[in-house]
Amino acid sequence: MSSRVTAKQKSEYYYLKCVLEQEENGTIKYIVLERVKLKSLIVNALKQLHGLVGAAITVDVLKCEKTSGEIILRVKSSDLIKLRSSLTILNNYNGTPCRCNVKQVSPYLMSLAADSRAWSPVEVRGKQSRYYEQS
Amino acid sequence: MASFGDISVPYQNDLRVLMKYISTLVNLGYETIAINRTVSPDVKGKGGQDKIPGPPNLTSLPGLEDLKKTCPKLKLLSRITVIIEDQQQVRFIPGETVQSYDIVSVQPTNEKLFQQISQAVECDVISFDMTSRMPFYIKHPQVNLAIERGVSFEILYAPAIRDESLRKHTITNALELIRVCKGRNVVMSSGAEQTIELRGPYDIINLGLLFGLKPDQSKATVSRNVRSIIYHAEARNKTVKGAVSLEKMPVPASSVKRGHENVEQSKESDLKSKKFKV
Repeated sequence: MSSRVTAKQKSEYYYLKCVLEQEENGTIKYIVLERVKLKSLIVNALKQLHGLVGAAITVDVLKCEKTSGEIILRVKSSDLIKLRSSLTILNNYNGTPCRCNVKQVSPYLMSLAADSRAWSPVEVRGKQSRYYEQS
Repeated sequence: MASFGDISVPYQNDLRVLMKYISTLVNLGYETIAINRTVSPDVKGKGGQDKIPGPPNLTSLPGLEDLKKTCPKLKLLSRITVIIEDQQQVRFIPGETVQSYDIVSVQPTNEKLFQQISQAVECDVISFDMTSRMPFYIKHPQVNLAIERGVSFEILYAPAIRDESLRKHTITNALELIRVCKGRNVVMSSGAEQTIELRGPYDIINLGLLFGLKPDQSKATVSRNVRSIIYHAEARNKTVKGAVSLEKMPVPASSVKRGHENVEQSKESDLKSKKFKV
């Protein structure tokens, strides 16, 4: 028997899937960071835009995918706007210009498993997207 | 849903660099892209009008065909921004070169000029230099006049990403502008100097929340308002007083048989295809 589950209240957390990008010789490449470095980068970005209040936001790094550069973050839903705007404003990593491309945002971690926007009927499943150069 | 658009990609002399901007924007999810050229025509010298370059040819960019395959809805437009520092420069705007661009935008530098532009000048977008302290206050009456005429206001976000002091000024000026126009008729576009400064449309929508917009207004700044600018521009450019427009129709096969009539028709359509001057 199938059953239907409805979440009645506002979800407590939001999950973000993002990729740190960098331009190298005219092509876009993703940056892979260790968790600690990534966390400090994010906290710095938050502090830069929102000050101490921003730095007090708890952000959890759930995953750092080494093969695709994807990062999954978790924040309290009340802090989502602050975190996302800080990621938008983020402009350099170690002195080189970079961009944090937020791919997906969802209140459910499971829905980050599939990206409806990146899906295209032409591309064969399992193949890496053409956007990134394969390193 | 209206597609996402960025109406301020700076024109590059190197077409390959320009193409890089376009492909990055397409990858981020934009479908309407306007290539912007900023000019400040000289009043004193003769032939200031001639010095304004015509709209760039956007159909023959290298690699555009391949990009069209991945994004068939891609729409490229040309846009001109005229920086106005002097009352006399206003006369360039109804000129033929400026009006031949798809989107015409004006950047006033003082309050008097802003008053004049919002009242009478034929343009689609009013932009301000938001990277420094505004030299004048944006006031309700002028803004309301512009909004009534369907003219939009522009916020550039790339300076906010580039540098800390620029960011400070951009945020203050954007907050001020949005307070005055109550979130109506605002567009946010990049104005990026590097491709890495471009951001995805949903990031910009989120940034709009920080500028004091409501979520729905914020979404409109990159989608609905951009579309309305394009329609406003088309009404200005391709119609007579916004009421009548003429289009070239393919000649139906049945009329091809009657030779002499066909010649007449093509003559007529040639006349029609010439640009209307009002």
